Amino acid sequence: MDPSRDAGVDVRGLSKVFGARAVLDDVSLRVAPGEIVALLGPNGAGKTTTLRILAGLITATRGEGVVAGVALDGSLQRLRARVGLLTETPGLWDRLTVHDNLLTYARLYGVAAPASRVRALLDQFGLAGRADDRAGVLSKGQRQRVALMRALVAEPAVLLLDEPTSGLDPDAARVVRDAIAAARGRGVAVLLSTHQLDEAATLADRIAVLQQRLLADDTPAGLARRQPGSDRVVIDVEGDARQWASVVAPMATAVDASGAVLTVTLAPGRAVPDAVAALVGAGARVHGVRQAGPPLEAAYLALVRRDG
Amino acid sequence: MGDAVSRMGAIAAKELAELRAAPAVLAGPMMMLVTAVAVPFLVAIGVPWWAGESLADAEDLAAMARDSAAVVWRPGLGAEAAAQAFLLAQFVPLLVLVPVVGAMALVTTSIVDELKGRSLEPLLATPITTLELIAAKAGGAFVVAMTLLAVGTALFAVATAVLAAPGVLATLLSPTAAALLLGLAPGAAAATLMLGVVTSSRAKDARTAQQFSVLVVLPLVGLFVSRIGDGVSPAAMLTVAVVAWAFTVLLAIVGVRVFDRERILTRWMQ
Repeated sequence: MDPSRDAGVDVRGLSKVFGARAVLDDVSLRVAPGEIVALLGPNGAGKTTTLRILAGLITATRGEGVVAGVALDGSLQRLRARVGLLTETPGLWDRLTVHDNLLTYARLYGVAAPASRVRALLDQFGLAGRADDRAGVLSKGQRQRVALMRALVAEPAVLLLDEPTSGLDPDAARVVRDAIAAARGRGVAVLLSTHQLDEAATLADRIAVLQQRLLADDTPAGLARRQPGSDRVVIDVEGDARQWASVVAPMATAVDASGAVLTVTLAPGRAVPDAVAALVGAGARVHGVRQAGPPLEAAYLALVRRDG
Repeated sequence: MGDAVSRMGAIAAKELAELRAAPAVLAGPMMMLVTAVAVPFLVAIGVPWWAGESLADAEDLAAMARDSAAVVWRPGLGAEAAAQAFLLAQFVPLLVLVPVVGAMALVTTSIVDELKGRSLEPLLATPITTLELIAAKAGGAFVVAMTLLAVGTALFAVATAVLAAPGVLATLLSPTAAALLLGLAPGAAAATLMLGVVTSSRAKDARTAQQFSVLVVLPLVGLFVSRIGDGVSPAAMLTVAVVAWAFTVLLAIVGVRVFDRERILTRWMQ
């Protein structure tokens, strides 16, 4: 196994059966350190079950692998010590202060200097002023931030997040996304489940589509490109677009020019930057570029509907 | 080992902090404590005083007092004092119910609140083991239950010294009372705690867990306590205490099994 994966997630053939009901079937996943992978899937697709298995909360019926350097069939206590889990609901102790919530977890994880670690987190997440407030009086966004701090309190090698921005207002969601991106910057392997395709597209390096089994595991752009027509781009240029059609023709299978808009179907192996560079090189002023084909949502829906 | 102690300490401290923040959970046990302390003095001292009669005149009572094993006779103890001591001794076993009720209320509320507040999943995702978690929760509740017992016993003793006739307190300090309060009460509280762990890990709310546990525990404790007035020996009481501790260990083993992470998360927190 690649040693660089030891600190991340590398699991193969995970299956989980509850009674007679199969929830997961032969799921293999990799999340490298410093990488964010979004787990997409409809309700009941097995996302939470996957996260719970990787967090050492429940065991897989079949499958093997390593999470944060610990084998799934090894010491789950050791695994839990190296993984941070953000559960679907914050699950704070409402009667305790924010500080005491975090301090208890710091002590549970055996953090060397728990009080200073908690102070550092409160400062980092902008909640130092609420440290002595009871968790029960916080807003939903603040509660989610505290829950994320709790998941990060032991500086885990792997961070598992179950719908981290669900139900949050845009500002609170941005704060949480920034924190997740910062964790990636520190080399943490992040696996997050979400229903928000925009979030997956902007935050994740790769997207894994799950519906009991793994339907796809690709970059957001790669996933979108799986749809027919996804290789079509719309380029807004200054002036009459027809004069630039011949510039992009060598790298396209079809070019349509209308008004100030070029619609280009890229040839295999060609990418948007090639077309833009050619246009700019020829003297065109490019005002905007966007995907003409179906967005990520269409690709996702096509996958899960085809499987469902 | 050090890590385990640290983790259990973290949970015990959190339990006590939650109790300080919401002491209402102690309302039931406090009512029990007040009852266990007030009713005996109401019966043995308040009612005769209000009726203007002396217990020394009740010959049947004096005869029962002389025959009772619950009272250690002391030379020179007057008839009034003997009757008071006899009556108060009948109520001392009520103090056993104080830590039992307290333990039940604390542990069931603690676990069911974790289930309902969905704080159990992140807690179970930490390195804490099931045994450590149960021991920490039960341990914190046990300390509080024993504190309630100590407070109740102290209040009972002070009230006896202040309100009862001279010599009554010394009469009540019998081997029977010692076996009851130092042996049986902790054993009964510990067994109740573990029963509370088992029932609350499967209950949807604290009241259901308490009702189920109380249905099992109180009749047993009540039956035993009711026999004490008939002269259960201290040795027999200590034997029952040992049985209660053995029952506690058995229930702890069952508790660890029913507190299985996967079952809790997939069947009881859905």
